[in-house]
Amino acid sequence: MDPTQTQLEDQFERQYFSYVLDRVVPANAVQDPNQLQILSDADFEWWWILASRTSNLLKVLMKEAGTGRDFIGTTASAVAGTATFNGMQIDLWAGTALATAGFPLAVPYIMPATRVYSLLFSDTSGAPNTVELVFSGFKLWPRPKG
Amino acid sequence: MAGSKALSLAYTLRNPLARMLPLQREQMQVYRLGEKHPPVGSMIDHSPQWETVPFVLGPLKTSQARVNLQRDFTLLAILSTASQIAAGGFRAQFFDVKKNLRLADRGVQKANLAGSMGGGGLGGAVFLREPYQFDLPDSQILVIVQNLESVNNAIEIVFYGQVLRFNQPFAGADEFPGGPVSSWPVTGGAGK
Repeated sequence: MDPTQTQLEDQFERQYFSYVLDRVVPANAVQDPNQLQILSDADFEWWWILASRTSNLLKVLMKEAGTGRDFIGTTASAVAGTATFNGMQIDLWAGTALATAGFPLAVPYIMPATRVYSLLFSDTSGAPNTVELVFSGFKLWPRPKG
Repeated sequence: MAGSKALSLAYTLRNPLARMLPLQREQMQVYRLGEKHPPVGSMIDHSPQWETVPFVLGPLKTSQARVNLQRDFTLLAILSTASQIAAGGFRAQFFDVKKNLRLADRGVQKANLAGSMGGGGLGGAVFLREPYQFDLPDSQILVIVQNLESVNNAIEIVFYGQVLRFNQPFAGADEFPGGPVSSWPVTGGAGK
């Protein structure tokens, strides 16, 4: 085996998998809460985020329930003219596979089995906004020893 | 400069997953797609972070924002959007406050800074060829934005990077700005 491969061996088999969140965000919703739970059978290695929406007038926040981590945040100390921070514009976060606009995480993130992630949508389009988020990556299956 | 070697990365932070960029769709090609193994090196034990800087600027107005970064923020990509782009949208310039460094000679127009992912076009995030690390304690990005439009402009700039998990334990290490706590990676982990 290539020595580099040996060095990187981590005893996991990777199975392509996608977690999908579908939601019709009500018109003018503010931080509309949605939950995504990682299945209990395996940890998930998150590599890509893809998103489709009806209107781009939609903001998104993502939080990890187990740790309280905010993946999308702002700490700008002087932000001109904006009201409460409701997240980043969904088109900045990710686009569709059709447009080859899925966002690749530079370094994948391990989402532990059973962990819950909250996605909070805020709509300013004034109409119901049909959203689909796809977290694409790999399930991590431990390899049998020996 | 005499003696410099263009491809030397001896003192440059490197993304172990990055590879040579092609001339097109670089944001899609920056990684080893389908890499079988998890990351190693300096960005292990970190997690993704999208640091968002929104502005609503009046006609031809300029504003600035300081972004307080989480520990060990490592900048990997920039995204931006503006509601008005007829006259170029905006100019933005970034500074590493703690290191007293400019990250651009002067403000860069939106079209040359970064785009957005969605909207039907090709993905527009601009990935750094090699990461930029804000590794000093209490690091900040100073963002100065000038609206180039003669109408109000809703501008959003996003810094995508990796941060050290705030709950990552490092026994016996010190926390900035002082005092011993468990999570500053002085004694190991995080590739330090």
